[in-house]
Amino acid sequence: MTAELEQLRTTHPPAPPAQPRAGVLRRLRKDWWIYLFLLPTVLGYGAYTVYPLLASWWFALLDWPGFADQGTFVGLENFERLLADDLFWNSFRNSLVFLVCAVPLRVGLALFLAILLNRKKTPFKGFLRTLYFLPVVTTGAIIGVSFTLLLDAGGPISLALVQSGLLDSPVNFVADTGTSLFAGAAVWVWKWLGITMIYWLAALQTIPEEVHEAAMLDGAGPGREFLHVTLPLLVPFLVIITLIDTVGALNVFDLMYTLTAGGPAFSSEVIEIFIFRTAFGASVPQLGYASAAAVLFGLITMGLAVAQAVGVGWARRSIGGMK
Amino acid sequence: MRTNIPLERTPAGMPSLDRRRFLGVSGAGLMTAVLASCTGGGQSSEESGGSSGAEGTIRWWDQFRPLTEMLEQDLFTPYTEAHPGITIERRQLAAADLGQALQVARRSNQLPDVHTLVGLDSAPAALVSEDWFQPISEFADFDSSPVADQIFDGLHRFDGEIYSVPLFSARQHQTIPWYNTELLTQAGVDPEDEPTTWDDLRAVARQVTDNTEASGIFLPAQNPNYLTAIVTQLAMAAGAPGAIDWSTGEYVYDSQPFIDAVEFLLSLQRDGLVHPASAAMIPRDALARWAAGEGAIFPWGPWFIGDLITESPEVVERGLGCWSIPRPGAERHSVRSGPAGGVFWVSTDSGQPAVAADLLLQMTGEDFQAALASAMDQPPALLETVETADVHPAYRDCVSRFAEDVRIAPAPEIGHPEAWRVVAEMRAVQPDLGIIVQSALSGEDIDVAAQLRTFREAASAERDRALATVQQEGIEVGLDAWVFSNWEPESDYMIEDYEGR
Amino acid sequence: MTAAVESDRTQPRWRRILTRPGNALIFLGLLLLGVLWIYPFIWLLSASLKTQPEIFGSGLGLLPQEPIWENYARAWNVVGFDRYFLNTVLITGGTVLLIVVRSALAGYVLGRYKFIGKKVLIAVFVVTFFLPEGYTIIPVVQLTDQLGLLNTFLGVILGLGAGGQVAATLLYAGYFSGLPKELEESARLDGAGPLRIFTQIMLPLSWPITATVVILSFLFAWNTYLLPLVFTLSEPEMRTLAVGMTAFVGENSTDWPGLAAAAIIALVPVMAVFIALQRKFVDSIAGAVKQ
Repeated sequence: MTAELEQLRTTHPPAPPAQPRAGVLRRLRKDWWIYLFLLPTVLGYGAYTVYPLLASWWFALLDWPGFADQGTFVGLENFERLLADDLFWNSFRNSLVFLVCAVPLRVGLALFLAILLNRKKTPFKGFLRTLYFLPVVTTGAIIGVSFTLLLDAGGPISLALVQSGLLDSPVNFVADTGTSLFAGAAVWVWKWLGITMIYWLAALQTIPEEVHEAAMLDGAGPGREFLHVTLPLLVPFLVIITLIDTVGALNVFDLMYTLTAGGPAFSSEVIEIFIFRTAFGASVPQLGYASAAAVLFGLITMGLAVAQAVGVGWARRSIGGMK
Repeated sequence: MRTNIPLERTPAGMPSLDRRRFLGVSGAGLMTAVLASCTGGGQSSEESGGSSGAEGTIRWWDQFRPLTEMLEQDLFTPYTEAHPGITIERRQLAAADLGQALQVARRSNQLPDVHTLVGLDSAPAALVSEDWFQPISEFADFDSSPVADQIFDGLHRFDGEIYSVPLFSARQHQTIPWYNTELLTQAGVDPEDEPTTWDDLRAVARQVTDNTEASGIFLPAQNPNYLTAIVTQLAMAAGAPGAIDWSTGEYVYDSQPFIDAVEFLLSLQRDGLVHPASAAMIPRDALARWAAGEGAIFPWGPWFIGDLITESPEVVERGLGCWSIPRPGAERHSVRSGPAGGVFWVSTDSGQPAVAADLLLQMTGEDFQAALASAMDQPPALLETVETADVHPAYRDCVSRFAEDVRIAPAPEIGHPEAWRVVAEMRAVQPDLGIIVQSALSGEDIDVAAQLRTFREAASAERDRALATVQQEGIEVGLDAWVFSNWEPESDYMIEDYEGR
Repeated sequence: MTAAVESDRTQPRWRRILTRPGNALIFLGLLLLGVLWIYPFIWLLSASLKTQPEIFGSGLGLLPQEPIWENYARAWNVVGFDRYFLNTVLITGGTVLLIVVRSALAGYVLGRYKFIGKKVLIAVFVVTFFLPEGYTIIPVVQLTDQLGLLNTFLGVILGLGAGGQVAATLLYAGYFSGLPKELEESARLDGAGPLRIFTQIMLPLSWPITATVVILSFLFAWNTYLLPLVFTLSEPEMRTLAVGMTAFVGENSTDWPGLAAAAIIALVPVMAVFIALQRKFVDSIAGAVKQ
């Protein structure tokens, strides 16, 4: 859908009869209804997206205990403290580990499934797709709570691993400092795999049938055909899908908060939980400090979004070039 | 829109509780009808519909689930019968949610008239200075109440005005080893033969683990605060003065008794005596599993029986009892607990401070205190009411053990009028004691002594920082506020001792 | 692409395909994985009908000795799930409506007209496209409070639907930009104003996009957690299913069957909607991403 943005910027949809150099005021007066149509979005977006964005920059400069009405200006002190705060870096590292483990797994496994499901010779595609897609529509917070049972030492996952000899003794995956973050990543991949698979299916559909057939006629086996023909065509999509999933991996508050709440001993505390805990959970809530963490977090995400815009632009050009 | 009008002073006829929601909904255009039909239908608004004029509704929030029936029976019902214009709406929230709820309510001027401070109780004085509460001394005569001698400056009284009163006794701690008589007997242990040392307790736990299906002991490790409490109390039983050595004012988290206490807990776990699911348990889970007979011993607070009775009375029938907190060797050390703070506070926006004050005063009376005793939650401020109240023998035993084992520690806020500012300025230092123990229990290979030293140093540094910040504001307070040179570890620090130091 | 994913039109075909061992193997593998994928739901369903000790005591067996339907009654009544359910429906409905109305209006003019400020608007959209919710929650609480809307349904709905949702606007814009110009011109000749053109011609024409936006924003609003959590901290009666569910855990952490039953109650509606409309769901998402 970011492609949409590009399109809006570059192409000009049907415009009313052009009146070059028309006075700005006259144009504004003539187009009053356009602004009326835009009003709900401009007001809502301004108040609930743009204002909070700017406000958190301001809040980040305040020392503001949550039980006080107002904060006092302290300049960049919050940022200095953040950079020296081991727990902030801990949550930053956790978010990064989560991202690096979960995103490739989600993207790769989804591609694998999509290719198998895209085969003409696979029956009951719709049914299988439904099975994989079902977790996508469910509520993350409820999934988190439910998996505290499933991942319990006495729960089915630990039990099955012990019975199959993969584990020596039962493990509570969410209450162990060594496994809690990875348990969260695994549940996240499980929950969201289906939607990435749909992205890939959509991508695979764009490859014309003749390409496969031509490759087969040249005597390429399915493996080689995939490696040399399909995969290169998918690279632009890989960029887009990876970026979408990466941003998704930075929005895991509901799942992680209900699954582990960041514990034990902060071992699965991702950045969003750090922000929430600092702003609402602590016995002395620190709104300014939490805002500063949010600002840093926002900068990282925005960096990724810029990478996305660049990547998408590149990907579009590649796709365009192919056609 | 931002209004400070107390909700109770809204015009008659408009349901006061829902005024804000009403305001919200009235602008909603096409959704008004749907939403209004829904927001107007809440249970809470029905009750407040009839209130008007001088009478009104008291909104009341607390976390005391086991006291629900008792508060209703012994306080609210008699009070509203005597004052027909008054309605009391109590809401019980989980302790974990209450602090967050209060913060948000405060920001939107929706604090209830009366509430507890759980989750925000690090420094009530800070909240007082931020204008959260109003004083209540002018509305009721607290100075002649039975708990008058337990009302302190810096805890309940600020600038000469009383804001809150103690309801529970300071003489208590949270890690009494409660046992399941049936399981012990089954394991061949005589509950009367009290394990007084750590090794004795380990032996009992081992006997239970070996001879029954159940585990020896519960150590709910999901909640770091629980771990902080149990380690601190075990360390005091081993001779530590507490988290702070009051004779020097220094933190002592890395002293030998603390290290020994952590090692003791780790060794219990290594020996396989701790319930295997403990890592994922909060204390309430452990209580439920203890009740289900999955383990014999669970160290928890005096409210143990009160909690059980409301949920599964048959478990109490089965047989239970408590021992004193064990110590490492033959030498006895008492454990120390700070003076009891205020429990209920009256919001600054409350339009009914007189009613609230009256209710609080009644709670300090002997009748209510006796009822409190029989609810078997935290022991009441008037400890003697326990002797005559209708309570389980094990509860009486528990309270009399407190009299022997617990001594009252000094509190800087009482001794120095500005010390609270430093306490309020101090931020949580992480990883703290509970988190360190949690990591160690969950199998992480850490050097406990080194971690405790790091924590002690960080805690001291944070206090120094807070002190410096407060001093910069021109307030006269120093580290000596934490030093009580006339403090004796084995005796209570009384109000007159503050003057004599 | 939509119909192509679903390409098995001829029923008896699978018989022919599965006689080849390779195909049968792949199919079996996919099926096994699929069953594994929905196993957590099956386990949850089974746990919701078991007794407390049975859940962790009966190994991997899924069948309860005797189904305990009372678990559902307890989850529903004790927790007040009926109330949470109603709250969720109201909040979701309001949010979807808000998103559809404002996105359609803005998408229409963005897609079809040139006006002063358009570039600025689009630039703002680009910059804020992936703003995470956790980033803005503190100012949003503050703003809602200043508007006097904290603890109101309208406050939650505005918080969810008034900002963000760029994707919906762009979907509309993309769709409207592709419609022929003559549609409006003839209507304008008949004397219709912009609002009439929009409501009587354009909006009905855009129903496929409306369906997509409804589905996507339904998923978003029904499943959202952080905002309703923060907004209902001091007002438990206004909790949504997701928030109520986690509160249930906090207060009854050892009532596992009740917890499982509550989870099932909360998950079934959204799953049912998905299964009923699954073709449309999948097409919406695939279509949105392709654009």
